[in-house]
Amino acid sequence: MEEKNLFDYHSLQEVAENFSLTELFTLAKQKNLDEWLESNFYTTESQQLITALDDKVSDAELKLIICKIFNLDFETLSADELDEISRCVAKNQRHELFFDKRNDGKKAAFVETQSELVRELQNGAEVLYLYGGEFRIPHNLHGKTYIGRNNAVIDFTDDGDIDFDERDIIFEGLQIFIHHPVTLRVEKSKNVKILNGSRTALESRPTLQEIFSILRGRNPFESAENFSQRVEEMRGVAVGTALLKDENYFYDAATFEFAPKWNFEYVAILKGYVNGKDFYVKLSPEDAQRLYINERKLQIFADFAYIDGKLTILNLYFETETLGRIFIENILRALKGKQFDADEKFSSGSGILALGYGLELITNYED
Amino acid sequence: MRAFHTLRTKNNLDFKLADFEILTLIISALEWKKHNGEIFLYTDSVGRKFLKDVGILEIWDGVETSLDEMQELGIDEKIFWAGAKLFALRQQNFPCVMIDLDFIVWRKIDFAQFKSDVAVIHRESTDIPCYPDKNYFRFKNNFSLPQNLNWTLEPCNTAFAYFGDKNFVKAYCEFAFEFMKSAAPTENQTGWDLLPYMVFVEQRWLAMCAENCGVKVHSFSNIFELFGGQKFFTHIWGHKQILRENPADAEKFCRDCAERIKHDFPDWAEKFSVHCKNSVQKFFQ
Repeated sequence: MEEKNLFDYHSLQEVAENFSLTELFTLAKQKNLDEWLESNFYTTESQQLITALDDKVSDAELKLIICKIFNLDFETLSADELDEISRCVAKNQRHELFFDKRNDGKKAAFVETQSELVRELQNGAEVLYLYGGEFRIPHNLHGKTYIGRNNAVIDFTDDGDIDFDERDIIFEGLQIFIHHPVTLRVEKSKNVKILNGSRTALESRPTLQEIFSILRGRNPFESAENFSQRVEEMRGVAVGTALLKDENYFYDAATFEFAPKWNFEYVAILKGYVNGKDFYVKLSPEDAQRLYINERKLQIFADFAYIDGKLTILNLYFETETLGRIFIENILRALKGKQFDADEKFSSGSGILALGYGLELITNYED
Repeated sequence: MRAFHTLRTKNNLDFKLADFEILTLIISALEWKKHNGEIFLYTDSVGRKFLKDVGILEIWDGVETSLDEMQELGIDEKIFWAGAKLFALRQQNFPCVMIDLDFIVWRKIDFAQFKSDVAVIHRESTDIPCYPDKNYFRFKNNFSLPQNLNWTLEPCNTAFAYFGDKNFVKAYCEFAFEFMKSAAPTENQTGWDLLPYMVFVEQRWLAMCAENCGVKVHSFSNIFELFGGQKFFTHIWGHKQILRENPADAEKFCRDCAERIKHDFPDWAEKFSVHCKNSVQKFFQ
C-alpha cells in the first residue's frame, strides 16, 4: 500500500479526509504539520500550532487544536479520542469562567491538579489559579499568588509556623487545612479560612499518651471493667480526614459521599470496621453547599467501646463550625444502589444479597 | 405435616401483590398439599380480603386473620417486617412447618426424623454483612442482650423451617418479641442499617436459642447444594427484586408458573381461569 505523503495534499479539507487525528497528532509532534500549514499559506493556523508546541500544552489540548484547525468530523474520532477532547473542552470552559486575565502583567496559570501546579511553577508562573482540588504549595517559592476557585483547598502539612507575608506569598479565596497546631501569617491575603486539622481529640482528653496506652490493649493485671471504663473515655478521637468533592453530592438522596483518609495509628481498629464500606453524611442541598464552601476538608472523630474483649468503634462524626456535629454513616458496597423498601417482601432478610435458587424447577416437569 | 403461610398487610388498604408473587404462592400452597399435608394461611383482614378478591382463598385448608392483633404489640413493623411470621408461629400446634410465600417444596419430606428438634432450610455465614457484632444493636427500656449468647453460631434461614417442640418455640418467640419491642436504632441507623435487627431476631437468635435450650438444629440442605442443581426446593428470594425491575422477565415467569399449575393442578387452573378477578387470570386463559 502506498504510504500517504502529507505534502501531496494542499487544503485543510483534503488532509482532514485522508488523515486520522492520531496521524495528525504524530505529524504535529514531528513538526511536519506546522510546516505543511505554513507552506500551504495557512499562516494563522501554523502559528497556533507552533505556539501550542512551544508552550508544551498537553496532548489532549494539542489534539483539540488540531481538531479545530482541520474542523474534524466527530464521527471520525474514536470513543477514547472524543472523550479526551470533551474533557479538554470542559477544562478550557472552566478556564474561561474562572481565570482572570488581568494579572498585572504577571505570568498566570490555571491548574486543576497538583502535577499541573508543579509544572506551572517550574515554568515560572507567578499567579496560580487553583481550581477545585486539594493542593500543596511550596512555601520556599517566594512572590507567588494563589487564587482559589471552586473551593480549592491547600493542605498544609508542615509542623512549624510560617510567615507567608514575609515571603510575599498571597492567598485569595482559599481554605488552608493545617495538620499541626501552627500559626500562619497571612495578613496580606484575602478571604482565607484556616481549617483546624491538628486535633488529636475533640477535648483535652484523651491525650495522645492515653490513646496509645489504650491501643496497646488491656493490661493483663487490669479488670475488663476498668479497661472498658478507660475506653469509654476515648471520645472524639481524630482518626482521619475527609475532603468533600462537589461531584460526590447526590441531590436526590441528599447524601454527601466521601473517601476517608484514615490515620494509620488506628489501623488495627479501623481495618475491620471500614472494610467494604462507603461513607457519607446526610445533608440537605443547602447545608451541603454551606459545608462545602466553608469547611471542605474535615477531621473525622470517633468514639470507642470495649465489647467482648475487642476495641471497637461506636460512632464516627465530623465536628463542624458550620453545622455542628454530623454523624457519618456507611453503607456496605454490596448493598449500594439497592433501594431499601420497608414494605419489600423479602421472605428472609439476607435475601437482599442473594438471587433465588431452584427457579428452574418451576419448568422442570419430570416426576 | 401441617404447614402455615404468613401474609401481613398491616391492614394497608393499598396493599398489593405482584402477579408473580400470587402465582408463586399458589404453587407453594398446592405443591405442599400434594406432597406433604395441610397448609393454612395466617393473615390480617385486609390480606384476607385481597386474596378473596383475587379469587384464590380456597387454596388453603384454612385462613386465620389473627394478625390483626399485631397492631397492639408496639413493634415497629418497618424494621421487623417478618415479625408476623413469629406471631403466627406462636399460635401453632407442634410439630409444624413455617414456609414463606415464595418457597416451594417439590417432594415429600420425612419429618419424623426431626422429632422435637428444629430443622431449617440452610444455615448462613456470619460473614454476610447483615450479621454485625452485638455492639451494633441499640435498645430502650433497659433491655439488653443476654451475656450467654453464642455469636459464633451460624444463623438459620427460616424461609422453610420445621419446629418440633412447643416449649422451644415459646422461648424463641418470647425473647424475639421482647427484642422487637425494645429495639431502638440510633438516628443514624437508617435504611439498610436496620436490616441486621430483623435478621438477628428471626434467624440468628433461632440458632442461639436452640443452643441455650439444648435443641438440635438440622438443615434440610446447604447453600451450595441449593444453588447447585438440587430438585427439592425453590426459593424466589432476592430474585423477586429482579422480577420487579424487569417486567418482561416477570411476564415470562408468570407464564411459566401458570403452565406449571395447569400441568400439576388442572382443576385448580380451570377454576382460576374463571374465578380469578385479577390480572393473574389472563395467564390461565
